[in-house]
Amino acid sequence: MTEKFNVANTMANLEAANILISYSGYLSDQTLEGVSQGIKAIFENGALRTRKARKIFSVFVESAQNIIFYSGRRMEIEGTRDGAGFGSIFIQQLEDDLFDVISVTTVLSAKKTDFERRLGKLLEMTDEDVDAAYEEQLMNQITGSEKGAGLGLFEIRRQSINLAFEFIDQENDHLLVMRATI
Amino acid sequence: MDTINQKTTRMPGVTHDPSSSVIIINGEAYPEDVIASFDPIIERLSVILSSPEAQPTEIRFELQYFNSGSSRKILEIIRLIASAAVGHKIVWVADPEDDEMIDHGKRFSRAAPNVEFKLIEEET
Repeated sequence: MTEKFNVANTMANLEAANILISYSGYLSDQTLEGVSQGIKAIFENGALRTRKARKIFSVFVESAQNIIFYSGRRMEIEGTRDGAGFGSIFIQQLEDDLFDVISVTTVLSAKKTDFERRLGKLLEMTDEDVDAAYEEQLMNQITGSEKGAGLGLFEIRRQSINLAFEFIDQENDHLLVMRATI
Repeated sequence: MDTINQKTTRMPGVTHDPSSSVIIINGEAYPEDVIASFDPIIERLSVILSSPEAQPTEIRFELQYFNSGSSRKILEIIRLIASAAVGHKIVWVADPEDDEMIDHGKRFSRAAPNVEFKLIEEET
């Protein structure tokens, strides 16, 4: 039997970590639409309507679409092309003007090495290298898939002050945790 | 004024004013399916901009945000404009606060070196 979910502890943990937005579970395009409008409402108000708000929004959309399109744990939803991917996404306020967009997605064992190689290469690049590679991919329409894999990761890297990732091994697959500091 | 695409929260509105020969693309772009969302627009634009009877047209991009998938389709529109036999003009409007959108304009202008490409910084 599944253990009863401890709502109070989860809420306390999120609050202690200064999490402004959290979503966990099956993420569909419809969810993205709703949450992204909520993010705009929070970040594009008053003093927060800044370049930073645009960057947070951009990284959120690219991260969420990575989960929707590429999560290894999936659910079909009638009437949608991609259904939903399982994952989590959090926006954490670190300081007044410093935020982390943390995304967690399931990566199948067969794909882990490829993800690890691509992300490792991305982190080794300088900002100038990333800009040049982004432009080359865009102009030459180089893509890992018809949905634009690759360009989205470049976009996340370009918008971040720092990008870090780690794989957490699970019984049959892996969790990819990506932390973009903005 | 002809509406080529109705504006939504996730797709820009696209309008064509044949009397002044101006096309305006205004809004945000991060649809679920970029191909299904953009290809009908590109088809309509192709008829207007690339037909033998095409009039020189100003295409104004007034975009506030687009995701990486949509950037490929926006580039496709820029290239469609650049490949037309008629000399069209591109106006790229970016919020002065939005460095990224200004950079996108510069980047796309490099994809259309033979087209008059004006980058304007003003609130969109």
